[in-house]
Amino acid sequence: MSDTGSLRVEAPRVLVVDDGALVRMYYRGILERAGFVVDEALNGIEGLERVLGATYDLLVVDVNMPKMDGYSFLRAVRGREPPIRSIPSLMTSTEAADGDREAARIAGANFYLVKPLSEDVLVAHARALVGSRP
Amino acid sequence: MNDLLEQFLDETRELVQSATEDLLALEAAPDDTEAVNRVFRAFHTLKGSVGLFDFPPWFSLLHAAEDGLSAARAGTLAVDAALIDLSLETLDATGRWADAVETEGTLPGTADAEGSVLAGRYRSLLSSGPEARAMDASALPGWASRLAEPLRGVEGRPRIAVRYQPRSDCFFSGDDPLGLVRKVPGLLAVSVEPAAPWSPDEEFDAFACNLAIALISDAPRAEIEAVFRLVGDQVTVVDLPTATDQRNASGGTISASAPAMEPVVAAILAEQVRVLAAAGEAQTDAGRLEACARSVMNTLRSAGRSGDADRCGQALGSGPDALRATIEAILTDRSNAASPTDGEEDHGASEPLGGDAVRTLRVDAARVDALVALVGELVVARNGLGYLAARAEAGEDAGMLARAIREADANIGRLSTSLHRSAISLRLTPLSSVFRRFGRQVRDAARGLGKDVVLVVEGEAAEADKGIVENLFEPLLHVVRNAIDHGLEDAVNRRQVGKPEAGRICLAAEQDGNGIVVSVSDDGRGIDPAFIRRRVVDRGLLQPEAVASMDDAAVTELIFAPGFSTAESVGALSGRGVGMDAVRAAAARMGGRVSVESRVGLGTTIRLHLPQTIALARIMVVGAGTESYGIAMDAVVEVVRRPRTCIHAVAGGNATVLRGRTVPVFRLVELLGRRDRPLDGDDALLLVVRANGETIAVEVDRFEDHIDTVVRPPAGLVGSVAGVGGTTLLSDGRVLLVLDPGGILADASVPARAEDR
Repeated sequence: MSDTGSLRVEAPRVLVVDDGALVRMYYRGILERAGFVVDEALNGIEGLERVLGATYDLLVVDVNMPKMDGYSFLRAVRGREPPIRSIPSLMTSTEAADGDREAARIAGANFYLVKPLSEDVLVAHARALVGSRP
Repeated sequence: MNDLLEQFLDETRELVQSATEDLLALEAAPDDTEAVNRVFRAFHTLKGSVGLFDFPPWFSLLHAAEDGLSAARAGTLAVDAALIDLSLETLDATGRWADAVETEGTLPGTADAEGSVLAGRYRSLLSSGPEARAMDASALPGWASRLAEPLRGVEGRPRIAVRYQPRSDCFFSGDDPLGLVRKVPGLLAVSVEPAAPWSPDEEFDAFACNLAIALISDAPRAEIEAVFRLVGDQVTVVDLPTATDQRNASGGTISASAPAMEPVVAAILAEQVRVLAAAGEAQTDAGRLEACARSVMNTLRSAGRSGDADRCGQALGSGPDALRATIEAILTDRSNAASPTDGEEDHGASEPLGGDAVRTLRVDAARVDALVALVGELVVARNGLGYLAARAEAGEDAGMLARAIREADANIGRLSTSLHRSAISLRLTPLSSVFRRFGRQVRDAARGLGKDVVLVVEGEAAEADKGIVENLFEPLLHVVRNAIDHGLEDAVNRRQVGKPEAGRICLAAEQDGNGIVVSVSDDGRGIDPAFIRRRVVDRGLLQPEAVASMDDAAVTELIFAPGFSTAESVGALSGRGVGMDAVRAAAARMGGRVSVESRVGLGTTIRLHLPQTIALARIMVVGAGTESYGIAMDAVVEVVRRPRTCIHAVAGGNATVLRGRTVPVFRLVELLGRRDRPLDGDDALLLVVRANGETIAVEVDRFEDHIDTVVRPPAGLVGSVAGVGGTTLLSDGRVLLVLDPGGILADASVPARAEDR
């Protein structure tokens, strides 16, 4: 990322990794309205392929997914080379227990949001994590 | 956002369906871990989807269900009848609520109560299981969760639980514990318990207070604390999670003490401290450190704190501990202003609901492709017409031209026929969508009657028009329930006659020419014609001589006669005042018919013969006054001309004798509410029509035409007019009302109607 103090000008790019088609649709609507470019992946494996193929500014990751869950996906991302491993991430889950939050931190999630998410909450956190003005 | 809701409802119904099937499979094989996983996943997805909207009772219910299934998946809760029944009921509720959301835009008023009852049942399953768990957060003390339990899932403002244990000498220090509790605003629940076990009677001190009062209120914390300010040392106050509680801005001590900063910014920074402190795997350490640094720097920049961002950037080089220290320093630097909120607020996303629900149709892409290809051909064929016009203008020979035009006409005719067929095929839906609903229905019906029933489904891939498939469920359900209730013997009887104890119901569909035949077969006792004969005579439906002259097959068909019911007793299941005549009527409405085949002791098969598509209909165009109307040719028995002298006034109406039968005669103009006009001509033109099993004659002014056309169902204003079966377009572009003889007849049976108009 830019090391200058300036704000980014190009549209930030987000990868939404979630197995719920509806959830992806919902996030896409919100994030696009907020000026993000949105890509989608259905599970961790697809997410990894995406991450290796494009430059993302933020990952929005569901915990519970088939094939590869959100924790494994994030661990895999954090174990890659820079700058991939440093992509900020928002983990979303329906679980609010402390243990789940801690598991997300261990996996390298930078923030943990409990679903259901309102538009305001998602946009505020996504903007902060990519460094755009609220 | 209407799209989203539509998609949601579609998806919800599919998930309900697939989860229902998996639950039924689980009932047969509770060890099927794959099925448990699928059910869990379906509930998980349902919950996630519901969470996108503002339906708190729904979300709480699905959350509870997910908890239950999660325990089942983990093996800590048995997959037994209780869990399966409860989950099926939850799916039922979900299906009904989806319908309500589609039509009303909101959940039904009972959803709150129903949802919390079901959710409570999940929780009691869980608490009786080996893995007993208290509500939600482990942090909640037992007294608070007990008191909060009945309120769980109920929407509202954030709640606060208070436990007040007055000092034992409080009565002498002027305290009035119950008086204080009464002053608490927004009181939702109160419980009073002994603080310590009661002492034996002989030692009992009536002047010592031994009470522990717990209460829940939704008033602001400050107001509640104000009430208890004089006894603050005896009070514990706990915040309860609300139904849509997010706890997203991880309310730790750091974010709470850094209110000068945007709450989101502070929360993210604080979270990075925790992430850095968490013990991750070695190979991800570098990634986690860099991601935290980048998150912190981005967040700070978004808040306009580039200086702080740079501080973090420098600290990054010195490792995670240096970065952590820097972040903490930044957080505490800003912790001077005071603001009590942690700034998080989340009510789920409430989507504005569109007024009318749009009906959607899932179509195989190949069919759309075929349609598009045909339209393309049609466009090409149309170009040929321009060429012909040019040739005509050039004065080409009329005979040659006529042949060319006829060829073009044939070509376009072929294309339009294909186009019509292709368009109709878009509406073809496999019957499996109806059949799959029967697994559940058969199970419930069989269980309700204490019978063991195996359902066999055949030919579910057969297709029919969406309108037919959608209307098939009710009549089929009736037939299936009848078969289980009356067709199948009980286990004892079956054993006596050497049949397997489990009855067999077969639901089958097959293509039959241009139509489909949907059948329900049972291997039960069959229909005894002798019994039907007796019953028909007893009920006065037919004269004994008439019945005696009928063969057994014809007698069996009498089960479809109105007023006939073979039920010995009115059962809860099938005897709901609707007989097989309702099934026949439903089939007739779809343009089909029913038949029955039965062999005593071996079983019964009821068949619904239905059109596969709602295709072209033959319409007879008749005139009444200055207007023209259509009548489906199917309904027309014959067309006759009768001298008026043969039409007699009978009991307030008219009738004539046709082929030895007395047939009521109605005048179309009068049926349609026109004022009486003088009768003209010596003869009356009569259209003899069969409707609802009766024959009537309708006098019309003239016969105009026969046409093959597509009849559209009545819509808009004409949709509510009795007797109108649909509309169609005439070749000159006029709209023709197509009459429904049955509807007209029903209307005519109320003589006052014609007068009123």
